[in-house]
Order: sequence, then C-alpha cells, then structure tokens
Amino acid sequence: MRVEGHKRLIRKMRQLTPEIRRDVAKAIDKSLQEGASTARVLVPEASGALAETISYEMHPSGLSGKITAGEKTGDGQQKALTVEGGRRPDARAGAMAAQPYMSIARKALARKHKNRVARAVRKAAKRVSNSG
Amino acid sequence: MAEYDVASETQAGIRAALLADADFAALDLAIYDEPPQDEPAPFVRFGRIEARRDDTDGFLGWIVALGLEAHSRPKAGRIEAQQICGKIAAALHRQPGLVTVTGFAVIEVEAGPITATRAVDGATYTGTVAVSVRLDAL
Repeated sequence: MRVEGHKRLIRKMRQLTPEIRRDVAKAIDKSLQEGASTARVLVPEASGALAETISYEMHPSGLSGKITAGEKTGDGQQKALTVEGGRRPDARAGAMAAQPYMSIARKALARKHKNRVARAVRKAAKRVSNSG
Repeated sequence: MAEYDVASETQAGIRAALLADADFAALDLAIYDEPPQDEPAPFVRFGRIEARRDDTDGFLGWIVALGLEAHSRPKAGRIEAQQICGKIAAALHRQPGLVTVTGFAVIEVEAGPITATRAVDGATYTGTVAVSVRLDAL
C-alpha cells in the first residue's frame, strides 16, 4: 500500500499550530474585553471608582488571560471582594449585601467563550487545509 | 463619529425601542438618563455606558455596552426589580431590527445578564441588565 500526500499533510500540520494559536489568542482577547466590559456595567455605581479598576490582561503565551478588579493594594482587593461577595458585620463595619458583578459576567460569558474558541480553531484548520 | 456620540446615539435608540415595546410600555415607567431628585420609584435609569471600536476588514464597527437599572419601590422587593429587568431583556434581546441608531446598522443586540441587589438605603432594590449592541457604520 502506498500513501501519497503525507509530506504535504505533515507540512500542513506544522502550519496549523501557529495559525490556531493566533486565532485562539484573538478569540481570548475578545472574550476578555467583553467580560471586563460586562463586569464594569454590572458593578454597582455606589461602589465608587471600582468600575474604573476592572481591566484585563493577556498572558504572554496569548492562550490565557484574566480580568481583575480593585486597586492593587490590600484594601483595594478587599473592597472588590466585599462588593462581590458581601460582608458579615464585625467590630469595624456593618453587614453589606453581596452585589456580584464578576461571577455573573463570567457565567454569562462561559458558553460564548467556549464556542468562540472552537470557532477560531475550526476556522484556522479550514484556512490551512485550503491553502496551497 | 466619536465615542461619546456613538454612546449617546445608542442610548437614544435603546430608549426609543423600549418605549415602543408594548409589554414594557404597559409598565408605565419613565426611563431617565439622570432621574430628578426624589423621583418616586419604580423607574428605569441608564447606568454605565461604554463604547469600544470593533473594526473588521470590511467594516468600521463599534460595540456599545450599557447597563439599564430598574429601581424598585420600597418594600416591593427584589421581585419588582427583576420583573422590570425581565421586560427590558425581553424587549431588546436579539431584536436588532427594533433598535435604530443614527449613522449605523444595528447588527446585534444582546440583553443579559441580569442582577438585582439591595440598594444602599436598605429598602429598595436595584436590578441591572447588561446590554451589548454591535454596530456597523453606514
């Protein structure tokens, strides 16, 4: 039995990885932008400037990223967490109801993001297989 | 068109679409950019609005994300805020044909997620619907 075209197939497979990485990175960037934007819209206005601190950053690999909230200080992080999860009363302050913004944005984005990445992979694979 | 113009035009389009929706109009609620002081609830108010560019190879596009807040009456509870948010979402979600934004084709409108939390006064609730509008310049 003779298999023809295997060299071309190997060449295509090699091309595929960077193509997929590039497209998946774009999809992740889009999801991060969307997630940060939704969280900023949902965060209660009464929490002051918290919305302004919600941002995202891509990992240098381009294949992951994170959305963060709160100033990069202990107090800032505590405030962001308190708005999200609420607070029980203690000696320093009274109770505060949870006003989730991050978890809701994440849940809303989860399926959309999964589909977006799957679409990016399919698109890259199709493009490579159709190219010369 | 500048960022703030796109945001303002989208805000106007969303407001008009909501007022034209029979189910939402039946609630007889005012929609404010900034409600007058001591305005009695329930009412709807525009929250945060942000516009970002979303250009593709062939189109100059924008994505406008905005929050619509439903303010409930004291003691009406979370239910009232959620019901208003539900009507807003039902009127807008996947209804790009019902929203008109001057200078743009409205490609998609997504309404949701919804959140409702107790307001700082401890008596009323504020529900928020996150709305995302994708636009292409005409």
